[in-house]
Amino acid sequence: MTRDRKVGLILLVPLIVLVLGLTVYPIIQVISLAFQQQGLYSQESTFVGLKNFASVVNHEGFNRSLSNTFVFAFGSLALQMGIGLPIALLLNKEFPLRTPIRGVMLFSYLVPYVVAAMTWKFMFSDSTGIINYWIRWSGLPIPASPFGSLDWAMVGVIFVNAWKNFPFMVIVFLAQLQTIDRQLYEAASVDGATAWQKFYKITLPSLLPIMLVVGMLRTIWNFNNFEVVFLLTQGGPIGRTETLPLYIYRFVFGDFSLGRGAALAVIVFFILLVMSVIYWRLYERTQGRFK
Amino acid sequence: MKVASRYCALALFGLGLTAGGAYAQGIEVVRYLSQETDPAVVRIQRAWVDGFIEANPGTDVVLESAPAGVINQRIATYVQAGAPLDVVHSDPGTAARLAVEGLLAPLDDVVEALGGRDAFLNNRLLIVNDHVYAINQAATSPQLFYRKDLFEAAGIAPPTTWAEVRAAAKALHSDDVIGIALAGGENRMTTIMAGTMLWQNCHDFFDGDLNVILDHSNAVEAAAHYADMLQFSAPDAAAWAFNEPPEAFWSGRAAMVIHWHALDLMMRQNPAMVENIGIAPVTANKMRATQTGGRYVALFANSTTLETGKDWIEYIFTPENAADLTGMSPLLYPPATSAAMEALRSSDAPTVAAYGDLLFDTVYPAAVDGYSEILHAGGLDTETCELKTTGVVNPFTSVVWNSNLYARAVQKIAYEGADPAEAVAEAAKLLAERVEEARSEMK
Amino acid sequence: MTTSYPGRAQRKQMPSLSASPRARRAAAKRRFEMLLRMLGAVTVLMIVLLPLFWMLASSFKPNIELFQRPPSIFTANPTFEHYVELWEFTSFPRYFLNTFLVAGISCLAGVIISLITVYAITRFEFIAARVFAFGVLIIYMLPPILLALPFFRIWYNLNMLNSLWALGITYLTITLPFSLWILRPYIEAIPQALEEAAMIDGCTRFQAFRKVIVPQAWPGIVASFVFTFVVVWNELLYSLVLISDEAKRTVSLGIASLILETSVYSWGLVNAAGVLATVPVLFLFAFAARQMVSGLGAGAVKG
Repeated sequence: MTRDRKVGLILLVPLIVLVLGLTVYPIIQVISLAFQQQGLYSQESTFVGLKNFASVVNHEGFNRSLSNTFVFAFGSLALQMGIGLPIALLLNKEFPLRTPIRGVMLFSYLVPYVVAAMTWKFMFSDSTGIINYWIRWSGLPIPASPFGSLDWAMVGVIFVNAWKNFPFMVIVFLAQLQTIDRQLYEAASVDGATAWQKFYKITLPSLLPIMLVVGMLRTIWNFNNFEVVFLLTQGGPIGRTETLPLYIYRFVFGDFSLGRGAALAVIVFFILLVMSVIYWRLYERTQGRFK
Repeated sequence: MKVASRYCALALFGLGLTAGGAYAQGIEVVRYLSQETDPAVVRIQRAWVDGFIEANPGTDVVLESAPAGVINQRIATYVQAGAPLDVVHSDPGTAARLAVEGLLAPLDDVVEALGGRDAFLNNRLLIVNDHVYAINQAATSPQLFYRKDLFEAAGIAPPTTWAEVRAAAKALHSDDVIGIALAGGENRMTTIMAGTMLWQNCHDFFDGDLNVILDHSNAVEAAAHYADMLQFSAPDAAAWAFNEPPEAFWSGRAAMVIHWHALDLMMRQNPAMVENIGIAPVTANKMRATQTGGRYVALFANSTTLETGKDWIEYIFTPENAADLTGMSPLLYPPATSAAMEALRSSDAPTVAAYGDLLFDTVYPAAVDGYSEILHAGGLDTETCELKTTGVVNPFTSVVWNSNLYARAVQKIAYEGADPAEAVAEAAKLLAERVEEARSEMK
Repeated sequence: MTTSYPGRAQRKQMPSLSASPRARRAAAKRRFEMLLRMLGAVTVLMIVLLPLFWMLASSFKPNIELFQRPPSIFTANPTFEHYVELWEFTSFPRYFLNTFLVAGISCLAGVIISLITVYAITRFEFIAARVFAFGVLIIYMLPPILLALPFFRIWYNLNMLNSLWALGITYLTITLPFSLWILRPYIEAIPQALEEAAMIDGCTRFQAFRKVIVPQAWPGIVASFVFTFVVVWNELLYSLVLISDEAKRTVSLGIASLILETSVYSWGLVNAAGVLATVPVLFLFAFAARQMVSGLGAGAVKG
């Protein structure tokens, strides 16, 4: 058994090495960068204490990008669930060609972010866009080019993010829906329950735990999402869609201030840590209820 | 399927090994770091590489490119770590700063080999302490392009002053046509355009002693004017950067555009409209000052392949090679030497065939006579609006172009209804802070 | 349905006659519901497919039609010019090989390391599964933008900027948590008795692992490979920061370079590139759709 335990330990070595090298070390490096300041083209860096943190937090964009991030993360989540739940309910019912349709629905989850963003941008573009043309032609009171509109840019990026990621929700909900006992519905039908009552009393309660878990997970993903906003609006117009990842990118690759970028990254890291712990609590509690 | 997957995995692994092993040894490799991602330009660069390797056995050139921010951060990281870099194709502000910081190798022998300083057109050499440290390859000089048909139909003459530009934009702006395609995003394009307005209005970001002088009524007026013109741009102009204005123009959506890329894009995308565009040189309100910006080619002093790097720079500036590039993108790459200008005139470049004299009489002279803020700090006389040569290299202009503070002021005025004086004063204050920070970094 | 026994026929017909309108109504209602479902499904498909369809249609349009108003849905003069341009002007074929290499490195390594790690953890119980799962979650939630910067410096220090191997190893931060999550329920579900039996039969632990664990966990292995492959195929940020060599771009980065701020793009070219970039993931998906869906479901639900 001792030899066996040694084998087991050896098996863990690759992961431990990778986690140390690819996660722990970079995080330490970011944290140490956050306390330093270095001239753009100079080789020595100086320890500046909390100056970077202070300057990042006091920057006019900090509060804005913080609130943008929450709007983006929870807005995307709401829309993803709002689209995903009805579609999962629909695909859980019998109808012709259900299986291929389930497969095709996944396409938007599979296409690269670059392609998704590019295509939507193309379709909404003022000069070339087909949707832009339709909207202007129809005279509907929605902006024909949301990505350039101060009020609608956030809605636009949330929409594209939801389009890209809603199939994930559908898959997860479908998996859960299939575990619900059919007899419950039959019994409810016998009792004369309406469709809405069945949904409210049977479907929703059984979906709720998984909605919490996936919701939190997705929130963290949305929180971290860089690609959608970067490719669609680069944080504009006038910072209306600038989320924290974009804000970090701007410090590092726009202002070339590694220290400030790192300080912001550390702040984001702690926000996410708190969110993960909340997520973990929720997850464990719902797991308990599952079993 | 199991077997298939296994073979797949093996094939991938093998591919990886070959790719890893393909690194050749004992060859002088020059890295050419640029912001160029336009496939048409990259194709020409690749042809150069092939020609260069053929002419210089035992050498290789690696083309590297990424967006401006990533490239500049990359350069900074190398410098901070004291690691060698080779040839960079950087924006003017970065080139000036690198030269003043003493990080670049003098290119005097390259200039000699290309015919000496006199062989170069005006304002193409970055000279610090009487050494050439960088050569301007892309001297962007924005021009005002307009659609002849739309102007004729409306009975409007090509504009010659900013007031006329505005009037024409207003007259031609409709649901289907936008009056003038101007970018209003918080990015370098808007900063360049707003900067052009600033110079047109007889003011500048810096004075001759490199102090920020943006907080001035002329700067306020210029920003307000630009913001005012944005109402005749597209509804989504608040998100526009480099590509959208020329796109709106070649797609037929815009009546006017100010850009340096409009000619070649028109030719590539919509040749049917080539006949239909005119150029009204920007412009004749108070003076003629357009930015001679673009990009400079420089060589790092710590390069391990200094001589090959110099050979490469010389190679890309030979008249034929330079003319190839200009032929592809005439306004972005006006020739740097008179010899290249001649080579271009007699070449069969598609743009020359399409535009001919327009290029040589209007477009290129504007680049030669334009204002170069990095080579001649304080060279725009704010009293008389005349341009003069001061020879004071300004290493801080990249702060302006990277921070986009002036563009932000324009946005605030145009889209948030901010008071122009306040918006510009705030931009000036922040800009001065950043410049001071940069100045303190430079010991 | 005629019969020689009128009485019986009547008896038989009676209920059916009285129920007939209700039955018909029920049938009509069912048909109506089916129609509604189909309509709903078609709407979903439209939303999902419209951008992809438009991309495909646009990639075959001559330049002049790309910005024509009103836009034509199908072009009368389909052209391959954008694909030809892509082939001639850019290194797209190279980008594909690069991405396959990078995805191959990170997905294979990710799956293999996850496999032995999960095996070690479930069989030897060094650390509580809780701690393990939480650790995975932490790696999973780290924002790439946080790690991009240190990775840039690490690879620079190892002189491996612009290396596809470095990019592949970097992608392990993305693929590892995914494959750990997806594989864990599969391996936990394999009864320990199965390998013990194999070991009693004279197999070494390694043989038992290869002959029992790997085949049993195969659907999970495929699922995590396919899933992480798609994730890596779609990744942009790390490649944007780590790769600047024009010949070493990944597909996503190649397309991004055609549409980023400073570059000049032609929509035809970008659309053609988008189509080509989408084909491999769809192909892979067609190849392993079921595993991927179940893996995704399992990974998300069971954590």
